[in-house]
Amino acid sequence: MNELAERVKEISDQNVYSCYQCGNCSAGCMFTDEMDTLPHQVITLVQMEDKEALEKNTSWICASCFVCSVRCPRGLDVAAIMEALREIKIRERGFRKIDLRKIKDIEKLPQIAITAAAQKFTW
Amino acid sequence: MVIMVEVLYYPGCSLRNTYPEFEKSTYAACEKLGINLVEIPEWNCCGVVPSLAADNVMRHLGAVRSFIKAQEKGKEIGTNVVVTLCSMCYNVLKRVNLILKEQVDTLKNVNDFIDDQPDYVPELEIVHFLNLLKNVGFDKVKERIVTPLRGLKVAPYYGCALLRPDRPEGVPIDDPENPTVIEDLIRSIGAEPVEFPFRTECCGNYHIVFEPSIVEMRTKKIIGSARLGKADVILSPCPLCTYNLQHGNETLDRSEQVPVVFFTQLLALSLGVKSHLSTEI
Amino acid sequence: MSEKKKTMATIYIMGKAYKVPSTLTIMESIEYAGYRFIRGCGCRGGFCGACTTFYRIKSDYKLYVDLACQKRVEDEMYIVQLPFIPAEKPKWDLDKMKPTTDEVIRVFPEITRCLSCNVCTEACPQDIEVMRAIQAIRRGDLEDAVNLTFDCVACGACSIRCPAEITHYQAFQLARGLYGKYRTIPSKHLLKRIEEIKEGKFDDEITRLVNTSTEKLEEEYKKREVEK
Repeated sequence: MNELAERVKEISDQNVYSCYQCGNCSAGCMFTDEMDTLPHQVITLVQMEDKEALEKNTSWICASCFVCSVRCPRGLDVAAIMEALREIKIRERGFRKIDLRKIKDIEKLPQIAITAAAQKFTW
Repeated sequence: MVIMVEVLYYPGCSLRNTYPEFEKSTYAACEKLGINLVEIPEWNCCGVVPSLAADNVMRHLGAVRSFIKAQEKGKEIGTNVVVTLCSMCYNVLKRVNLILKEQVDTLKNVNDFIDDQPDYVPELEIVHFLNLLKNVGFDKVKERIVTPLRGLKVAPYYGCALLRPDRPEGVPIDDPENPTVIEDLIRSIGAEPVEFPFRTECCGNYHIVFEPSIVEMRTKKIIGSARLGKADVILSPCPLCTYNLQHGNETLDRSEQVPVVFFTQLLALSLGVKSHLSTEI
Repeated sequence: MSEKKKTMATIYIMGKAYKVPSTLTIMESIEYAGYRFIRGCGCRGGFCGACTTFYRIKSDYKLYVDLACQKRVEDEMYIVQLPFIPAEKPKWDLDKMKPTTDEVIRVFPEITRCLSCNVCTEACPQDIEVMRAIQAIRRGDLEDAVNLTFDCVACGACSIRCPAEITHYQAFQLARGLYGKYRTIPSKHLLKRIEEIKEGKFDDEITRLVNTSTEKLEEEYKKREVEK
C-alpha cells in the first residue's frame, strides 16, 4: 500500500484499493457540477499515490451527504475517504481553510450551520 | 391526556435558540398525543456533523456526555429511549451510540477520558421523532386529528441525515432509496403527499456558511421539483434543511417559491393545537 | 515547649532551584528568591487574575494551574507564569444586541467548536465549571452561564488550554453584560444616584476634597466612620 493510501486508511479505516472505478459514487453525487475532479477519479489518484488528490477541490465541495457510500458496490465509505483527504490537510500545522471571523451574513445564520462548518473544516 | 409514552428528549441547539416555534409546536402536539418528553438535564451540543475519521474520538465527547446525563435521568423515569427532533442530532447521536456499542476499545477510551462522570454503558436507544410516531402508530395519530388538512398538497422532504449512511447498520429510519414514513405521516394528518423525486437530495448542508451558491444550486432544484409536483408546502424534518430551503426560496421569484414548514408544525395544526406557523403560511 | 519546625520547600523558577519557606505563596516565594514583580502581579488578593501560574509537582506528570498570590508552594514544584493571554477582544455594543445565545455566537463563533473535552474546567483556578457554562450558553440558558461564572477573574488559563481556541472569559463577560442589561431588574438606587450626580448634588464636596492638602486628607481618612 502506498503512503498516501496508508494514511487514508489510518484516518478513515477504508481501503482505497477496493475501488474498481465503477463510477456509481460520482453518478450519485449531487455536487459534481462544482468539483474540478470527480470522486472516483480522486480515489484513482490516491491509488496512484498522486498527492494532487489533496489539492483538488473535490473533498472540500463534498457535503457529506453519503449517497456515494450507500451506492458503492464494494461497500466503501466514500464520504469517509473524502473526510480523510480533508483531515490530512486540516491536521497540517498552520493550515487554515476557513476564518470564523469572516462569516458573511452571520446575523442570519442559525447556530447549527456555524457549528457544522466549524466542526467540518477545522480540527 | 393519558400518557402513553414517556421518553427522554434531546432538544439540540438550533431548535432551542433559532427556531423555538418548532419546539413549541412539538410540545403542543405531544400533549395531544399523550407523549411526555422529558428533557435530558445539562445536555451538551452533539457536534452536528459526526467525525468520519476513525481515529477522532474527541468529536464523540459532546454526545457521550449527553448520553451519560440521559442514562442517569433514564434510570429515574424508567426508560432508555432518547428522542430528537433534529435530523442532524439524530444522525450524530445514533452513529456515536452504534460505534460505542460495536467498538469496545473506543468505549473504554472515551469512558477513561471522561473521568469526572460515571461511565457510559451503551444501552440507550436513539430515535428520531418520526420513528416515535411510527411506533405509536400513524392510525392512532389519525384518531386524534381534529382538523384533517384535506386538499393540502405536501412535498415530503427527507434530506440526508435521516436515511444515510446505511453503515453502521441501524442509522436509516426507513429504506434509504425509497422511504415512506413522512408520506405516511402526511396521510395520517389528512393531507396529500405529492410525487417529489428530489425528496432525498441533499440541501447543501454546511456550505450555507462559506459557499452559499452551492446551497442555492441544490435548493433551487429541490424546490423546483416540489413545485412540479404541485406542492403547496414542503415538509422538512431538519432545522438546517429548513434554513437552507428558505434561503433557496429567497433567490427565486415569488411565483416559484414553495413555503417550508417543520413537520411538527403541520402535525400540531391538524391536531388543533398551536402550531406557531408564521402568518404568511 | 513545642518547637515550631520551619520547613523549607524546593521550587524551580523557570528551571532554577530555590529553597523557600513552605508557608509562603508562590508569589511570595518568587519575591523571597530575590525577584521583583513588575508584571504578572496585581491585587495580590485572588481577584484580578494577573498572576496565572502553571506548575507541576515532581513525580506527577500533570500540569496544574493556580493563582500565584493564593497558592502555597509545595516541595519540588516546577513553576512558570503566564501573566497575560494576548487574546483578541472583539468589540460589541450591548445597546444593539438582544440577550440571546445567537448574539453571543455572532461575536464568538468559535464557541461552536466546543468539543466538551473539559480541559477548561480542569484549568480554572477559581473552581468554576467552565465547560458547563459554555454549554449552558449553547443551550440558550444565559442565566445558568451567568450564575456559574460569577467568580471568573479572567486569568485566561482556560483559553490557553482550549483546543477549539475559545476565549471563555470574554464570552462570559458578554453573557453577563447582556444578562445584566436586559434580564435583571435595573437598580433603582443606582439610577437615583446617577441623577443626583448629574444635578450636581456632590459637586461642592468634590471641589472641597480636591482643594484639601494631602496631610488634611490623611487625617480625615483615618477619622472615617468605618474605621471606628
